Amino acid sequence: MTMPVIGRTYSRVGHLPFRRLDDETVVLNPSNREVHVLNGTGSRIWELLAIERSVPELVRALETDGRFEVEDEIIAGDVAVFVAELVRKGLVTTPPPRSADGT
Amino acid sequence: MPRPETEVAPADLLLSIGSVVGHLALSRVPASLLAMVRERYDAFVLPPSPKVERAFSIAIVFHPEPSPVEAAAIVVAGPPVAVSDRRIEIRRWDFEAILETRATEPEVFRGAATCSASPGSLDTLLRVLWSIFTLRAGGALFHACGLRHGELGILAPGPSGAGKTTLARKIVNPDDVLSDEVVAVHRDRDQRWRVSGSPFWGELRRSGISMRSFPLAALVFLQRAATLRVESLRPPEALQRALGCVLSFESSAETARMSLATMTALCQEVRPVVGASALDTTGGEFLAALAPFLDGNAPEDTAVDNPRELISELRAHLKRHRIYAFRPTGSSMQPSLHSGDSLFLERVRLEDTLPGDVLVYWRPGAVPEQDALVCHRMIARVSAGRRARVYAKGDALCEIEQFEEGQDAEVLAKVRAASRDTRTWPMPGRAGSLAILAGSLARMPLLKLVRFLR
Repeated sequence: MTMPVIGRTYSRVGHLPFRRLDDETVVLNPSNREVHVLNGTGSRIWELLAIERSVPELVRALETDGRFEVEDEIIAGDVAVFVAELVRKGLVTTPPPRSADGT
Repeated sequence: MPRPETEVAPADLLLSIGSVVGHLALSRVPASLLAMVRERYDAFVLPPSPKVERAFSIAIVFHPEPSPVEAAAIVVAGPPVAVSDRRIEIRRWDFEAILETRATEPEVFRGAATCSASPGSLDTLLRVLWSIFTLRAGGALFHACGLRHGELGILAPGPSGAGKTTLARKIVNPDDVLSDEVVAVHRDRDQRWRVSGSPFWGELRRSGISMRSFPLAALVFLQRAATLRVESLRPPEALQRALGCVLSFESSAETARMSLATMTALCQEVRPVVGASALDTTGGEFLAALAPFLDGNAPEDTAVDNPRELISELRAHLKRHRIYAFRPTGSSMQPSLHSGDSLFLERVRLEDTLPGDVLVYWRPGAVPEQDALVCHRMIARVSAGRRARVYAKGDALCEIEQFEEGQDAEVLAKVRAASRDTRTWPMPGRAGSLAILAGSLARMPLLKLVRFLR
């Protein structure tokens, strides 16, 4: 599994249909017909990825929510792993890294 | 080299599956394939009157089945199914179809297809077509076992191996199984969910009973287990399972959105449960375990509200039992028949009828609510090419109506006898059968056709 690069930004794939039911989110990937169910925290991350965000930005938003009472490093690690999984499943995308000259 | 099979004259079929009506104009069809088609889809066939509103009309030309070597060499470019607002393209190694809408008739897709002359190829093409149009009508085709439980319907979806056919085999009355493979769900006019059978079956290889639908009382996701267990399912998990069981051949985002919206509504409005059963669980035990979960869903009024479905069920009863009895209302046949008389029907072929016979025939309308079951006296029958033209009239009416049998209307039965108060008398025909017909009344349940007979 490719770990996400801290500093890179991520956003959810725009055309994927999804539904929030109770505290969970169901996401449907029509290209491979996979159906994914995200728990409460996963649903919140999915919401936050409506716009491009980095992992630190996601962590800060979750802390603001007051969802966790553990150290930042643990949260950041878990969020990073989760985002990597979303990328692997084709639900989240990341823009290519810019080179030194800005292209 | 085997001789090519004789092709029969082109045939029109109007099929109603779930809430979707589709017209098929079949040509270059081998005789044996047409015979299979009529048998397999008969329960869902409507008289192909041009009045009947349809979602699509497609002309299918059959070609000989390719050999395995030829089939392996066929390369299909592009996605198997591509659907837009105005165009549908379907491609597989054994069939190809293109349908479009016209500006003058934007509600109906019209087109053409070629199809390998094999039952499997045609069946798959029809599954694809109905999956597309059922979704667009706000419903869905499911990989599921569908059951009738009294006047309620049960949808039991599951992937291959979950136990759909196993459950179907365990149901004591085979007529309570709507299908062991593909079942349709749709909303009625009051936006309540209903479930109906289809001609698409699995291992049980049956062909369906009728077009009748039932109020959907339970959404039971099947799975195998060591012991019987029925328990509620959280909506997100139910939605995930439901999406996995919808019959869909499309991969566009728009279709996925439609599917997600429909399944979300279904899982929120019909109580989802998981039904886990063992191999030795009987059908009765399964239904008994499910019963507590049905009560909350039973709508107050479960009566069929749709003449088309009920007439199709009458046709199925006549096909199965040959005779039937019911008590219609209406005054068009006075003085011979009065409102409230019991009528004894016998299934009949038109060619075996004579002028003077009182016939019961199905005259479809534009929409299911406008279908009519008519009981009038045949005045004359005239050959008109492949079909016969029938002239009929209510005894109390002046107007003579005419229809082409098998096109505008379908003759289902003739009235062999009638009963009023305690007196029973034969209608024109063989009086010797009267005692048998009268004796059958006690055993025959009366259909709720009262409102629909004209």
